[in-house]
Amino acid sequence: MIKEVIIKGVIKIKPLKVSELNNYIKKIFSSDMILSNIQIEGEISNFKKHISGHLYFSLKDNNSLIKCVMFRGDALNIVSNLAEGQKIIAEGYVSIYERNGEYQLYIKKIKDNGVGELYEAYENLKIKLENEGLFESRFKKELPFLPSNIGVVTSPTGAAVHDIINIINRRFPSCKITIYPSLVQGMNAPKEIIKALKFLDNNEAIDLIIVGRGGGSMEDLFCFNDEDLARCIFNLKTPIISAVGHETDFTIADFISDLRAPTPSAAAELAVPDVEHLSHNLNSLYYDLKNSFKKHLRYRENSINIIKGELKYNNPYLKLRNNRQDLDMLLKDFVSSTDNNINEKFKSLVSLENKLQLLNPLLALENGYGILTNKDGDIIRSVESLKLNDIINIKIKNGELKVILKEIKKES
Amino acid sequence: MDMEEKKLSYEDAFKQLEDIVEKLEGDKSSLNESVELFKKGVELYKYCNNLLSNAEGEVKVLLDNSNDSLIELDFLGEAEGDSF
Repeated sequence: MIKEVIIKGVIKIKPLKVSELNNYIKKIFSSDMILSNIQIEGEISNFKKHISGHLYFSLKDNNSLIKCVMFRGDALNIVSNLAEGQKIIAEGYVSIYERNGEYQLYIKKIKDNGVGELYEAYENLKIKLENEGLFESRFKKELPFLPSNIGVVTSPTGAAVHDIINIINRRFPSCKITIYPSLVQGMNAPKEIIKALKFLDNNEAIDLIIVGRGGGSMEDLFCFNDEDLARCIFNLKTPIISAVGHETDFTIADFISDLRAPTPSAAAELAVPDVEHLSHNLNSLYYDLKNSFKKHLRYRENSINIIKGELKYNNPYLKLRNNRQDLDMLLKDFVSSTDNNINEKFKSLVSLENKLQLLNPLLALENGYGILTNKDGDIIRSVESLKLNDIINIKIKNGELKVILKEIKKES
Repeated sequence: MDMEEKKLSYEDAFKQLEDIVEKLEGDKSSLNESVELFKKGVELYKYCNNLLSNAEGEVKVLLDNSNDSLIELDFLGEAEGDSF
């Protein structure tokens, strides 16, 4: 026997229990590099969703089949409903279900067979809603300038919610934030998001909503391409900002929201203004107010001063004094001009006297001339008035003569 | 501050304040008017300032109660659950 054992290369051991065997096989499977992390392509068949949330089905191709299980925690992340006959790529590990001695594929993640189908669904929905006009800018609601309470629909853990809170608190500390936690990934996410949005929309205190999540794969973000969610967002009374993934990710929720923020942080920046910036503007306006009022008062003061100056200038007493001075000046002018006048007159008088002097007949007598007068005393200027024997008076330098006219000769 | 101004939005109040400053700088108002404008301007400034420096805002989180109602709690950022 021993010889036989050695020849065949088999170690002979005591009989094992079934469970021991299955346990042994399980260990071997889990230590295998390929089986412990594998992707399987296949078609879904015999699909069952258990009440516990676990999914049971088989994957098959034309020749073969493997049993599959997907536990609830992993199944939550599935983007769209799985259906009989659907081709998928499943990611997980192969292990033994010891109770039945069956090996099966434990699926952690399902990739829809090609992102192409997701993209097609996204494109179709986008075109449909666009044709209905739901993306038009006239439907976009204006965001409040200073929101008082911002509703946030996102996962309560993860970076997105912290980014949003931190940035809002930094920029505008007095703003309240109400977080409605929600799934933001997987099939059930749209329903939860819709519920959260409707609740916040009906809360009067909430005047702005942010919905979103951090970055992820297209499948991760795909819940934001849900038609019901899109219509819910469209019908909200409260303005809403979408903030899904990264800057390069576009979802239907982005197109239908009132404003699309490239990231959750950016949504917070867009939601509230920077209080320091506002304060600065306000204070500089207040400074202008005080300044312009001061300027106004100064202007009034100047006007008053000008009027005061005019009043002073028009003081009647001052005018009287000025008039008096004018009068004095006038008098002085008058006096001086009168003096001038007299002088002039005096001068002409002197010259007249000189002329008169020249005409004095007595001056002629000095030179031996005489003045002839008739008996009436008239000066004789011609022979015509004379007759012979007329008595003629002759006045000469130192006396008078009475002579009788003895001859008259008239010159022709 | 009267009730009407209580409902006034920050932008509207700020705009009014800007208009008042512009009017005052225009030098066209009478002394009485300008005093009134200035008083109104100071009120608007206080109103705006008050809007900017209100008490610290709270962060609340809504949690589903078992009987389909919601409870409001202070958000501590340490909630248990799946993280995305």
